[in-house]
Amino acid sequence: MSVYTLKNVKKIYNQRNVALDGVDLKVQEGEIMVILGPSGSGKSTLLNVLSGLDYPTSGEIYYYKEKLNNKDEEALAEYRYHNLGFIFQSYNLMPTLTAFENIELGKTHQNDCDIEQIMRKMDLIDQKDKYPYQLSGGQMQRVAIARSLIKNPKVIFCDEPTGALDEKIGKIVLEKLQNINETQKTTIVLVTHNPSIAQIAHTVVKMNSGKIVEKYKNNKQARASELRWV
Amino acid sequence: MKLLLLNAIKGLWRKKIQIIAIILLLMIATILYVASNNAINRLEDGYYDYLEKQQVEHFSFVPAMENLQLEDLDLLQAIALTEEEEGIVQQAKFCLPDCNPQTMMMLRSIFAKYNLQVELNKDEIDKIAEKHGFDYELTQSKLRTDGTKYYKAILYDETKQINQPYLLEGNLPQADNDVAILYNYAQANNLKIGDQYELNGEQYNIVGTVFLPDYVYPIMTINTPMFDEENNNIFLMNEATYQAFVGSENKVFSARFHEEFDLKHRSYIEGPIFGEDGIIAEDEINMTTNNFLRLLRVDTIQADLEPNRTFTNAFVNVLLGISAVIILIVVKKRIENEKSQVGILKAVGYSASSIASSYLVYPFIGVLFGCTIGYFLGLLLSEPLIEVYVSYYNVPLPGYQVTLEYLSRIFLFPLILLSTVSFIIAFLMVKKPPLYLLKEGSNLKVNFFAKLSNKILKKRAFKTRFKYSLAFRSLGKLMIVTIVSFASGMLITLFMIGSGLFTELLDQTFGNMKFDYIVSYNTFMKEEAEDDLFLNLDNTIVKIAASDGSEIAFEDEITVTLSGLDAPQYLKIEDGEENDLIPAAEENKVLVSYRFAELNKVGVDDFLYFEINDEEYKFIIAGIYQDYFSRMIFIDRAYLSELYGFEEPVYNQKYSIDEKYGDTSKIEDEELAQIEGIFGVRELEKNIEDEIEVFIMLFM
Repeated sequence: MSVYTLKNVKKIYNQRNVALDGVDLKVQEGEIMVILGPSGSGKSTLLNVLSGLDYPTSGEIYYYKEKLNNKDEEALAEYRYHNLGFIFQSYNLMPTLTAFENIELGKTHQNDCDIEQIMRKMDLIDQKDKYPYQLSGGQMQRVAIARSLIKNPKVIFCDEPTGALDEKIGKIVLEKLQNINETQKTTIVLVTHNPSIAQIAHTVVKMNSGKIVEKYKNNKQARASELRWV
Repeated sequence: MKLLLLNAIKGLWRKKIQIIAIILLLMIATILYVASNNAINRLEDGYYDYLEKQQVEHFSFVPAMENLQLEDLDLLQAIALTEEEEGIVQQAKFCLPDCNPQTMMMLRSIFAKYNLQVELNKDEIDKIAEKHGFDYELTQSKLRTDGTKYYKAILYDETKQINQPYLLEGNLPQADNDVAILYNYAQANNLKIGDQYELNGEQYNIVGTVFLPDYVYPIMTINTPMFDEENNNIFLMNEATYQAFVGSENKVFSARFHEEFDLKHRSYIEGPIFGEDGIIAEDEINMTTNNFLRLLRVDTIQADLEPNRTFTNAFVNVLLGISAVIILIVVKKRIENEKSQVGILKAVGYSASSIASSYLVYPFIGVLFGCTIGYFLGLLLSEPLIEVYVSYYNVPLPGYQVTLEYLSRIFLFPLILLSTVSFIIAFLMVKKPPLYLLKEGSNLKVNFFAKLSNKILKKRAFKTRFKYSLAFRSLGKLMIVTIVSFASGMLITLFMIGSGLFTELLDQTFGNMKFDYIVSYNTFMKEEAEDDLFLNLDNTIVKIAASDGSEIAFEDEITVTLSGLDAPQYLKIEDGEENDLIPAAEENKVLVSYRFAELNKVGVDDFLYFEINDEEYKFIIAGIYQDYFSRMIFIDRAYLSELYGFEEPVYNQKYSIDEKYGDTSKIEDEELAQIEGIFGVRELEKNIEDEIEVFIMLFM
């Protein structure tokens, strides 16, 4: 079942800069989709319009059967609030809150999620009371992942989640994402310029100049720990 | 929301200096507000309550003497008149009620001299009192001074309803030589009940200390406008003691309306008894000098407290404004620092209002600590402030009252103001789309001035351009520093100019007054003296004409004072070019003020017409003197005396440097009885200087 369906989606900035040029795409429920491409290829723009952070200039975007591009800012906020989690390259943790509190901050509505359990899953339990400045880059990114997981989202959008991390830490972060996908069946849309990461994906989308230049299913998914990092 | 709040609170803790600055500002604002308003409110509440309970007079008057009748002369029978006065009375017996103006004038001055005005027109006054709905009672007082100390004896009569004394300690005087004295005087001079007090060789027993409702600000005379608690005293005494007290006596009627009178918005033109000019509009009664003094004594407090309150409140609002600006800057800075984190929160669905609300902790914490500490410190500080007020305002103080309005002004108003400011700035900043907030460096904008400086300095070295670019990047801070420096500099400069102007004005005003006393007489004096002598008579202009004889239109009635003078030693009358004009005032040639000439469009050689003794006289304007406010028309004294029918030059006022006028005990009894008032110029100058000093101290 498709979580997202995009039909001829275009995004043009300032009436001349084409960021997305007629994208057609389907994101299947429970899959890891990796969007690859060089800088300026439109991959982050695609993630933004999918997640409702930005409006397409034209075309149609469906979240299941719900059309997103008709929704106003408030409705989109509501949609993100209930369904999505975000992980960015810069971790964007609140510097005045502890790791525990930063994760709790992502809990936008009441659910049964146990923060400590998630922290354990992310190997963060020992860092519970530490502040972001006391954590390493990988730990901070794991806190960011835990923050997005805490509300049990249907989809997690990751924009260069390992961009600021070294190989070892990057792999650990990806492994956590892979685990979430496997155990919770959470759909993950991951944008990166690092082709090695494509090995963990179920579907790989390659972009260039705002267009999807290649899309394929990856039948030999690798474990994140076994990745050959480029 | 809980975590957003926690984040904001922890942020406060990390930037302690900022929140401490906010707390301090709010604390100072609250201290000022509470201290000042608590003192003023208590004093004001006490004041209005006190005036009502003690039945303070609403005005005072004496009967008019315009229509003296033959039977009125009976009042003079018991008086030992001088030979000359006896002659005037005898003359009046044959001509009353239609005597010529100069006889009437002399006769009125005799009634005034012996304080007999209050005995006149009893029936007419009763009718007027009934018509306008007021009660009236005789108030008798005697003033004595040795130049430094002023003693006022007031006859205490327990049957009187108006101006009831407020007893603070002891008893009101019943027995002979018992006195109740002014509380402040007793305090300042360490006098207690049971003490003996000697004055003028007479022993008095202090039996009580009092406040007097018509002496809230206890001015003794017009020339001592500053109350001096060490040297100014009022004695209440019984009839026999009063009669034995030596001093110049003042008898007036104190009046109080039956119906409720709006004390807070007291206006003397409200009642139908007062004309548009505030003067009693009934022919049979006159306002008295006492009435003007009464205004100062009873109403000064209103004129004093209101500006103080306004000034304090304005200052408090300025501090609140500064707090709001600081909060605004702090919140803005904080959000800028947490921009991307806020972006994430918005991305996951937090609403702008919930994020903005979390920044309300700044005003909440500021108000909670600043205003609470300020409130209690303000209460503590209000006590010494009240002490300052009550050292010269005699008002019994009610207890401290907490009203909802008062508390809301202290806590709610700053909270609402600062919260609104915080919320608006926070909301405006976080309402931006999450993508914008997440974008690195989206807050780094180059302002217009930085761009302009770059353009202007395009050809200069990079170092220079960089320096100016940095300076203009912090334009907001630069502007705040500029505005604050400008405002404080302006205040200081204005104050310096103001105080300098005051001193200059004082020098100019008093520098030209080479005399120390203005002595006014209640009769026309003949004996020549070495001082400057003046004959001041009010008259009304009947016609004004230009030098070519054409009539100049003017308002219906212009009342001026014709002031006859000789060649004064102590007074200069000069035109704009400092030419002495006095020699020009001979015979029917007069000197008018610049203001008079301007208002009535007259100049030198134009004519003024007056009616004196039923005959019209034409005066020629011989000079225009440089005094903006005066309504005095100077004329030769001998000529003016002659016009009014006096056989020789007379005077009713003189300017003197004789020190005896500073100590009434040194004036011979005969002259003392003829003196209506003594105005101490130097004392007034000193009082004004003192007031300016107090003002400067308060300002500092």
